[in-house]
Amino acid sequence: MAAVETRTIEEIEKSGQWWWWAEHKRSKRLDYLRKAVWKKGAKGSGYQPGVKVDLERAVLFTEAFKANEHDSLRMRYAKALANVFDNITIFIQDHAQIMGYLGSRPHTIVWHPEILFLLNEDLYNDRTVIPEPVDENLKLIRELCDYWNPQTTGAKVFNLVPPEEIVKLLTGVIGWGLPISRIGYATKQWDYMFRLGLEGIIAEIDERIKEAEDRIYNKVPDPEDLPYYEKLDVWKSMKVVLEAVIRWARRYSRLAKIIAENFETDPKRKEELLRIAEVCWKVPAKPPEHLHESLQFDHFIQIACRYEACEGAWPARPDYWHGPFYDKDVNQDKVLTHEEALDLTGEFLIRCYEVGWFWLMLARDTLQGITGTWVWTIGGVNEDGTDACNDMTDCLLEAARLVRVANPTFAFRYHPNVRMKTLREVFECIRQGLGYPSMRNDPILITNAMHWHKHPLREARRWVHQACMSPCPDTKLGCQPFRMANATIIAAKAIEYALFDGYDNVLQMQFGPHTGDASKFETFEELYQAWYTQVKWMMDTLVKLTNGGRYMAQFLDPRPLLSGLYERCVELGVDSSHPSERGNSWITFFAWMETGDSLAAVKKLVFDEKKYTMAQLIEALRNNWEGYEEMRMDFVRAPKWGNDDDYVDQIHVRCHRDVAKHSWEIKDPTGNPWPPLPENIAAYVTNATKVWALPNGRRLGDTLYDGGCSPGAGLDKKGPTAVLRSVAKIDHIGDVRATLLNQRLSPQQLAGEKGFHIWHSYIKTWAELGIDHVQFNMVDNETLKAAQREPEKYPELIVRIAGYSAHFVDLNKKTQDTIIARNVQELGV
Amino acid sequence: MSQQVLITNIQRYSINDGPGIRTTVFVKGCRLNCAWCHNPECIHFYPEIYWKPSLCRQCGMCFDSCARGAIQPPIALRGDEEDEHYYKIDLTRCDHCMKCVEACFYGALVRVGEPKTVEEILDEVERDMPFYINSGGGMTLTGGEPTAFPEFTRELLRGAKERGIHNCLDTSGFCEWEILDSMRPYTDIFLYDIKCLSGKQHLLRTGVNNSPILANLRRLAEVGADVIVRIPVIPGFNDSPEHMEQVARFLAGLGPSIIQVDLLPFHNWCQDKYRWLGREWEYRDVESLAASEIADLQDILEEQGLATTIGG
Repeated sequence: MAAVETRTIEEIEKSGQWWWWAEHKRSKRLDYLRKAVWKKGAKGSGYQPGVKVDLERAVLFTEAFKANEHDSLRMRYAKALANVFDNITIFIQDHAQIMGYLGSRPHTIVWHPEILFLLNEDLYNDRTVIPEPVDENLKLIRELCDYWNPQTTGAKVFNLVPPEEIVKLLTGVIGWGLPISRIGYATKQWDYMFRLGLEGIIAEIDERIKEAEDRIYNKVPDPEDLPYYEKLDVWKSMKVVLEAVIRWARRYSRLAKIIAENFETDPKRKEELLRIAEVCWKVPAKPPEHLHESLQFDHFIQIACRYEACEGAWPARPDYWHGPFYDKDVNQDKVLTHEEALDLTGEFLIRCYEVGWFWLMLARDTLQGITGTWVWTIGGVNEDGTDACNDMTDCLLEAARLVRVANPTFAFRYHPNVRMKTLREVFECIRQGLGYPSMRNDPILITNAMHWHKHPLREARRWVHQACMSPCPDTKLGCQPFRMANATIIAAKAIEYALFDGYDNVLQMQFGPHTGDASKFETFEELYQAWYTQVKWMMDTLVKLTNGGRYMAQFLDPRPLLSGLYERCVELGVDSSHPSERGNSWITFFAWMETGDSLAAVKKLVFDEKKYTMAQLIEALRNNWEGYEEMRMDFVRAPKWGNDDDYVDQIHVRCHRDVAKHSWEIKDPTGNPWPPLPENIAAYVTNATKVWALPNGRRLGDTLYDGGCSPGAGLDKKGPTAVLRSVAKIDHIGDVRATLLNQRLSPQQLAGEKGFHIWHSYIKTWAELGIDHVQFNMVDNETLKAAQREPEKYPELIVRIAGYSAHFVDLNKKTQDTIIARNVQELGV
Repeated sequence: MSQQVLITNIQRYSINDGPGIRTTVFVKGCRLNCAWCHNPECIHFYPEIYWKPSLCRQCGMCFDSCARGAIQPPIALRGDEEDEHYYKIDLTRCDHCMKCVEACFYGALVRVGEPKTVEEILDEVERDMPFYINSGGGMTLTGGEPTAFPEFTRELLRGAKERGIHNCLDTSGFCEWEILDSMRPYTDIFLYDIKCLSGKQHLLRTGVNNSPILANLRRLAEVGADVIVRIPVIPGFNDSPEHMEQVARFLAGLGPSIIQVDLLPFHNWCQDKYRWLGREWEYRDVESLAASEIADLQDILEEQGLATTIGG
């Protein structure tokens, strides 16, 4: 490594080794903070060495939960959470300016024992994360498991569902786990919080409590007032926990003051600590007035909510909400320099990156390398349609290049009026191989949010990513933790079921409905209808179960803290999972694009060319293509998506149209449709063993396609523009809630001013074609292979895999191989 | 039915063959035989076959399919190692009937050169129209040598113009002036290859005399066509500063027609193609040039006031 040190920054920049470049460019503070982080994402499915489970949260939560057993469930949750905020160990890291960690020590990950008994047993059986003294702690964990398992939310949701349906959920074919709101997604309502501060919200709650008590106790009796008994409890539980959050923040304030006044010897750091003490006293109790305060407010709330629940995503639009504070502090009042703002922003990213909790083995496998799909929204437009890019957008992009974290990542809302300065910052991040921001087509997605879920124009323009992909506004009626992370299907299974009369060859059981013996199908139409029946059945089954879990969440699984942060809930006295009139659902279609490719291959080789019969095909598939290699190669060579070939593309389009049509027939508890959203995260690897042989030539165990509308790896033969032309045949407003397109470009192609010009015209065309998403992986194969050989030399190398970025060296070999196998879409060579 | 010419590739999203995002059409057949050629599959005027050893499983299907005994019998593979002396096809017997290609299930035998009509090509090229409009791109016709098919090339360029597509014609310039002249109304930019100024050296290494090439370039300059001169920089052949100074002076003397010079550093990435075609290549072990290695040549051209890129 000594050789690296002697190189100049210019040389490093030239060589494209951006992770070394970042080390030299960032401030000493950021360098320290970035390196002091304990990585919480799993490697493969195990946690990094040294990471331990934090038992304080579980113990404190349980202690208060037990002590208040005569309260309502929501009040018990509120008091249990308040006990955590009042007593959990807090710490301040050297050089840090933003406070708040999810856990009592930097290397710990919290455990939420109240959610899922499977999770609890995963912990009991995972000996690498048990803290010292191991025997004693294992005994404690066993006790907590025994206490919680029967009353976890998971156990209660299980009781809603007949046993044979539970089998379906547990296979992962339909639903990725259980419909539990505590592991769902929750957008925060910044305008409400920043306007009032928590004290302002508590004042509103107090008014509601007073009004409720008036109605109940002081009025002429009226049955219409009876719901206020329930509402009163909702409001009181909100208040308990909001007050506890303020106290928790102020514990940091006191700690900072104590250190400053008694221990700190460096006068500069002492001053910083006193400033931190002021900030943490003020927010989140009161509205923020400076950038430091707004970032601290935001972070406290995000951490507090994760003490309450394992939120599956981290929806945010930081430039929109912190931009005005940046502008005021840096541009107008000049109380903060750009470099100081950059330090705060970089740390803001690191504080998010370091968050983790003990999570299911299955989920760790599928989310490889990160804790969750934390995609932050930047760019886009204001409510009036004007460009929303600001100096905070640029600051975030610059900070991201300096700290190079895999989580959060950014998604950029591109529109024709984006300011050029910001677009260049976006390009620079992509060029430097960060893997993000992904590009989102703003006008398309605004229309999409209006089309599916009835958001009015001005609100739709305020959309943020719910998880990786879905647009939904962060407004009073837009904000809802309504979509649950379990709503997934492995769509390619519908092809398998259509060919085997609903029988699952992997699970060895009848799974889907009987749609007839496919070997006797005489027309393509018969096969298509069998497939359509199977996929509709998968969607119906998923939605039935998830709707049940969702509706019951307000009773089984209340979230007093999150509810207290939503204007709608404070106004109505309801839990956050109480259905509003707006929708926010989608079904994630894993392994979706295999569908059209499989159907097209059968159409061509069986029904058009009559080279094979259906009976021959079924026989070959039944044998997982073994002994039918020549036949399989014919199916591999059949027309494939991504080559701008209408023969296959139009079959894909038809599948999209029909699935979209059915999504209007299945409603969520708000009465809105469940649109499809094809994407894969890392499930294209983990699901590979769950999908049987398919007519696109795939064998059991072969890696699935990695995107939502990306072609299969290596199957796009005509370059990136042909891929865009294929993808543009999908209606990105009416066919899908969103769909994910991966493209990889090698960095040499994007050097210099010409590189920017080419990329910009490419993006302009992509936008005109009406495609909702594209993300670029900018790393060449040589680098990836080198990283595979010597992972220790490439710790910060980031690659983008379906929906998010991860550190390449954290991925398993198979995933790494798939990334390398993807065509580097070379230009002109 | 218009004339068909063999096309080896229609490459969309090309950004190094003229301005913007382009589709590059490669015709098969060239009168030159440059020793360093990086598109060896575009030299012969007849269809050929690639044999890709890494994909070949030695299954013997091609052996069975060949009526002329031109296919070598399967051999046991020696792990990942490629046997340097083993080549699947006996080229002295092969008549390019393509039966073996049809028999191959693994894509190890591939036909090179598909006959295509002007309309077929234009239909494909036109698909990327939105990219051309936004980037200032279009179609680049290259090869091989497009002027070896004058009628076809003229029709293709004219058809593209009729569809509103910007055209670049990449040529060695080795043809009669009348042919080049007849392309002018439909060609926005000529990409014109200059290999070396010495007639003797040129003949030795490309198989043809360079005097018609230089004469045609002068005439293009006289009539005011837009020309981007492309110089493949070949180690030990034309990469001396002295030679580049001569070239620079020659080009500078041609006036404003020369809108840009592209230095194309030699690379040996194409060595697999030679192997797949069963040909020896004397440049196989010559190291590829990095852009930084020819920066001084770029300076020489720029000193003469020529806008110069490395790599196009």
